[in-house]
Amino acid sequence: MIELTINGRKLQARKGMTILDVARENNIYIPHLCWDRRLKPYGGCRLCLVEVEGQRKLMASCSSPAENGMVVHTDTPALRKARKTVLELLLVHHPLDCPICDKAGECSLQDLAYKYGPSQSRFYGERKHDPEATSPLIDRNPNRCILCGRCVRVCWEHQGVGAINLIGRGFKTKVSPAFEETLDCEFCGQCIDACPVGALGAKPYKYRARAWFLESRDSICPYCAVGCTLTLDVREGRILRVRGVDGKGVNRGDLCGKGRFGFDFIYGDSRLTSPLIRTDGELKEVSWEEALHYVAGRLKAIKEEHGPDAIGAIGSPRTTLEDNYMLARFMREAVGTDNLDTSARLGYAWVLKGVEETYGIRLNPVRLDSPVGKDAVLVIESDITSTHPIFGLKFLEAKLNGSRLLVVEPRKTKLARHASAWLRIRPGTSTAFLNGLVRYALAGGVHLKKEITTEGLEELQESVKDYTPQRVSEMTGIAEDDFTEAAREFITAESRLLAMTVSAAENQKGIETVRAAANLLMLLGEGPEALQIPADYSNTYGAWLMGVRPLGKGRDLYGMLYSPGAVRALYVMGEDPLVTMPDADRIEEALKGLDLLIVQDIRMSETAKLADVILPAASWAEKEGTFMNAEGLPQPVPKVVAATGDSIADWMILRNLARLMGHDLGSMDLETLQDEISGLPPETGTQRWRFAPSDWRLKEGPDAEYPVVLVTGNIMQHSGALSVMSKSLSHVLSDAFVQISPEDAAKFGVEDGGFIRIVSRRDSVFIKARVSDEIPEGMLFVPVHFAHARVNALTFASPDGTAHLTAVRLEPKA
Amino acid sequence: MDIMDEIRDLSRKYPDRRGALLPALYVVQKEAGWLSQEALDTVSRALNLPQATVKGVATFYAMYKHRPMGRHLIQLCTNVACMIMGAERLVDLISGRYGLEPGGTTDDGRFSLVIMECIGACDRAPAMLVDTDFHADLTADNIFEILEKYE
Amino acid sequence: MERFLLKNIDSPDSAGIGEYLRTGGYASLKKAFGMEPADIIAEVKAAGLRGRGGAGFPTGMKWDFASRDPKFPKYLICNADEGEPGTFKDRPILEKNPHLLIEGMVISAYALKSERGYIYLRGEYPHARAVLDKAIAEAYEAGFLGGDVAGSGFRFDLSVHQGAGAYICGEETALIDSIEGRRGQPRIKPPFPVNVGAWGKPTVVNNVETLANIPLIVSMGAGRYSEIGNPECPGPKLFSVSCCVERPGVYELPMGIPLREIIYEHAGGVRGGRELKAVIPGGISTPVLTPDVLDCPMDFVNLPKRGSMLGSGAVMVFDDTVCLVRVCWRAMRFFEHESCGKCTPCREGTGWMRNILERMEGGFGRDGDIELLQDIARSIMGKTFCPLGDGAAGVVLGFLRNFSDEFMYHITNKKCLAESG
Repeated sequence: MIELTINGRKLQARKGMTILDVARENNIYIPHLCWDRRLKPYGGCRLCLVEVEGQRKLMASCSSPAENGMVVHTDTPALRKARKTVLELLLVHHPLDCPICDKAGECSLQDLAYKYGPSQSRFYGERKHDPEATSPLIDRNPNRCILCGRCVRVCWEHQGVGAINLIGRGFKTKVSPAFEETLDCEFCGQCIDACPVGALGAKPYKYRARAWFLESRDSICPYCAVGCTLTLDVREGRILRVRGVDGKGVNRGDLCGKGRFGFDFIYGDSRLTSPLIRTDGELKEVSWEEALHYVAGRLKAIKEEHGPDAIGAIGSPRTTLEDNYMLARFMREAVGTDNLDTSARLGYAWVLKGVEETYGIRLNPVRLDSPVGKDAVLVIESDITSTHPIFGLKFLEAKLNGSRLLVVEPRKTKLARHASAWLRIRPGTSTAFLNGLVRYALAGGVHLKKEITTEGLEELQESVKDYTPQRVSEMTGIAEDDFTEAAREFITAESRLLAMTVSAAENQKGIETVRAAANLLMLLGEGPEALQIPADYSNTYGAWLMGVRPLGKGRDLYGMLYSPGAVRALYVMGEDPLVTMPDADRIEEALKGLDLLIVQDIRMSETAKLADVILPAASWAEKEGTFMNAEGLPQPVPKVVAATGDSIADWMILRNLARLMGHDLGSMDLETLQDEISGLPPETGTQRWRFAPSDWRLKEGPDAEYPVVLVTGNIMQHSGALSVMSKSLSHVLSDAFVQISPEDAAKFGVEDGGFIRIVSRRDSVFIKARVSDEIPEGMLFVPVHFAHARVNALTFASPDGTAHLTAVRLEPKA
Repeated sequence: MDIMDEIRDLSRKYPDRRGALLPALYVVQKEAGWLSQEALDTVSRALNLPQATVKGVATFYAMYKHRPMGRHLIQLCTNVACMIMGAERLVDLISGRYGLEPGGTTDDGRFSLVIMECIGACDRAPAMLVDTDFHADLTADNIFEILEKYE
Repeated sequence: MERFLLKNIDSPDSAGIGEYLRTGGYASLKKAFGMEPADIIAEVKAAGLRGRGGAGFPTGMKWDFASRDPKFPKYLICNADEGEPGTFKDRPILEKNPHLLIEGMVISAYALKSERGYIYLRGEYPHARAVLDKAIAEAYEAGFLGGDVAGSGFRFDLSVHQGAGAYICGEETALIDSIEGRRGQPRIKPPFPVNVGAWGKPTVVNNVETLANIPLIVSMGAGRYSEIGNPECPGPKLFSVSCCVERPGVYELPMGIPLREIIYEHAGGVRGGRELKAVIPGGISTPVLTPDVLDCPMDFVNLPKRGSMLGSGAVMVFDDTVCLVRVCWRAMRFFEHESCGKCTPCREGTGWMRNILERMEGGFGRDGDIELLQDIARSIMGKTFCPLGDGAAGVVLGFLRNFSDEFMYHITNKKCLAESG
């Protein structure tokens, strides 16, 4: 423990803290412009200077370690003078265009100039006259820049992107992309929050409101399962922008582009404003009363005629705990069936099944900071910085703090670019890679050094005996030396972590990958916390916990959507299976064969277009509820703005419907509902380790007829089918595309930007090609978000949970 | 040797390949006398660094050029010692004879003139580099004798 | 005085390894391999060698810190970024006696247990680059570099890393950033490079001249070495003398020699027998002095007592024809050009000081400009990130302290006091 005195107060500090850290912790004000908690101290602005007794020079508190016995003063005449001069020098060329600057009212320079004065500089200088630079979401006004470098450092040091830099030297330095081109980055917008002045701004917010007219409310991001806290700035009932506030939420202020810019999906053109019933093939607006009576009547009739099990429901990983809980009760109690599931069935369910088979536990929430401090971090075929951006940042942070980051990945993802070692694996073969690691560990005698009590060791040994480094190299395309080097590093590390995603949107990993990963970790003596596989979306984890899945003999998603004729009525809440799930043709057949399709959603989805009844739901921010993130943390989501049109919360619709079906569910208001939920028995399980041998084979590997494999997934700026409603995110990217390697492009005569036909065993699509060296030869990558491309007509579902990588061939458009 | 290979070869001298960034910039600058967008892109790809990172580094150092230079680059020192010994007069003379201002290039593309900050030849001031040739003890009498050798 | 560092440089083949070996080169290296690394460090400490780059930090102490750090590998970097205006003292070693530097580096590396060295050479020295590359190749060939140096089993690899025109890279942490392929901006200290330097590893950065002293200390022993020059900071020192003297050049003289002797005995006195007006004793960023300090010993301890510093030992002599306002303006133009832009006072302040000096020099000075200049300079002094800002402020304050009349004259009369300025 370090003891020091600041402004006469005796304070304690921990080793490694700077003077500024100590001051902040004790609410002692020291001004600063270039400091950012997330970044290494920079020491550039010189505002945080303090006096330390016995030191000849003033010291920059942001970068001076607190030392025992130090006597520090943070506000003396000499410091005021020094700070005033710094501000005076900055104001020589900083334009005083505060009246038209969106930052006015929340600008650090403005606040400091006000505090330290004077308003006029003794130096008269040329103002800078650089043109404003605009890009889809981020505006740069270089004239206002004070060169604190925070944006540049956040972009590179923290985000690992490096889209902008300090260009030039000295007074002429300028923040810009390499060639002053339009920004073409991730559009995370972290630079906007980092900018202390008005040099960077969110374009959608430009000239929308003065800062002092805004009302701020915190909420939880509706996109991925990280569950970031968003600060929503609202004026006159409309959300105008989203910010991250330093230190707040599980994200501690970090946000990705979806969280920051994607909130405007609630203002999307396709929002539903009224219930609709299909009459004579046409959807007609009706009152809630009519709609609900109609639905209740039809459901009762089907139940009476065919039994309750002729009815099924699909819940949503995007709606709240309360909504999903109510759906589960509605189906089990009012309808009387266990036919209930969510899209987690296609991904996260296999993670939980795999974990249960191996570690014996039912749930395995992630810990967002788990990568930091591990010696070796192994990432398996997963673009975590795109699917779970803020979780992804922790992998970069780990690397920066000295972890070895081993990335096994066919695509040149951000993590691959930042990896200590990037093993470019053939898509879909990571199970073979992991089995190879298991065999390598066994061959090295890992199991002999420690006492392994895990059941099934012999079967495991038998199951991996063919996965020699040479064979693994043949299967995965990773050079034998690279494989053994990575194996050695991971196996001999003092502490380790294995991370991946298994999601409904992806098709190159499956339950066998989870098993293989768990086998490896158990063999190395690692518990389930070393296996980090996050749930997909804002409430994937919560929907699972609310029992939106068959708990008994009910039909799961495969049994409802991929078994045409299996059910007669389907209630789809907040999900668009036609877009988000594989094998669209099969789903369409199933949906079209229904007697009754009820779609309850916030917008006119592709699935809704086939519905008999459409019920408009209030969206995120229009209703109160709870999301549970991938850590299993329930977080309140407040109602911030009025609901669109006649839409109401999903849970209310279901409650009302239950009443009409003659079954009062009893939960009258949100409070009683939340009480009921918090009273649910915890989903536990005790660890009981058991190896679960895992074999690698591709259901649909490349062959002569279909020589290329198609990998699907989420991309950075989008998330499932929701984000495409956002005008802001669509500014960045709104069109479907397929990424193809330069080698394959040459081989198949594909031009960058040209259209090609992709043909699988099921269907074919026309899609624009993007030639990219991020993709290896023999692979295509296609994002799943865009309904118009219907890329999920190419893919197939895999009811046993194994990877469903799709083989395709290419036909350039004639 | 291919430029990419040459850069990768350079990077072997450093524990982290980024160390080769400055040498790599020299390699690509040698090709055309300046760092075009393509040249920077080559370095960016060879060293796996974002373009903005490469550009930011390249613009920090005065000896990397960001627009096309003449066939011969005159780097004349006008720092204190050279100034006292008459360097500024040489700038005027060069300007008069070739119409060449500091920072500029002659119309025929023969010369570019850059003012350099201390060339480390204060004992033989004024001094200059023409391309990589060092010339010192410059006077109004010998300056053109020297420069005229560069076509 | 006998020349040690510049021994033999008048020979046309002085840069070649053959000539170097013929005159006893690499003998110290062989002697060093018979010593324990710790003993070499002790010897350098005992010799009292202080860094010749400008700051004068005790070299033995720096080595001691680095060798005590348990982290490996360790790096040894020779700072050959001689960019301080007026300074050209390392140039003769680099161009004419490169093997002395290499020998010094190998011994230093052996003492530090470093296996990798770099010579950070300023981009403005293309000729030195060619000489060094050749000398390094020769040293590899002769077995003084590489996997098994002189049969000792010690490994040391060395290469040249060329800067590209950035004065600030003479600052050791900026230099390290530059070697790592970054914008050469100074780093926060602590941690110091001896613990966390290049690529996060313990790193010793020593000036060319400092390293060239090492073979000498090994061969002579600390005792004899410390008899050279001032006992408080002993050894030979290279002085580069320029501007208004009869014989400008590099002079190897004992540390502590009076300024008068350098100017009048070695450099031949003020050119044309004119009157001496001012002297900058240690390169442009050391404060200017008046002729009444001519008897001050030139070393790290005596010059600070007279309000300046030894710096790089670059003596710039100004006679009565030189306009000091113009010198001050030109110096400030240099600092503005070389400011890295990281910290506010230096980035913005150097430009403003240049601006004010420019208007003074151009005959547009205003009343109060001197006070304004002083105020800015004092606001910069001690508040910038690295010594560059202090240097810039110190130059202005030095000129204004000793020659404010000349500045005042410029403002009032709108012309130079010195006619030929």
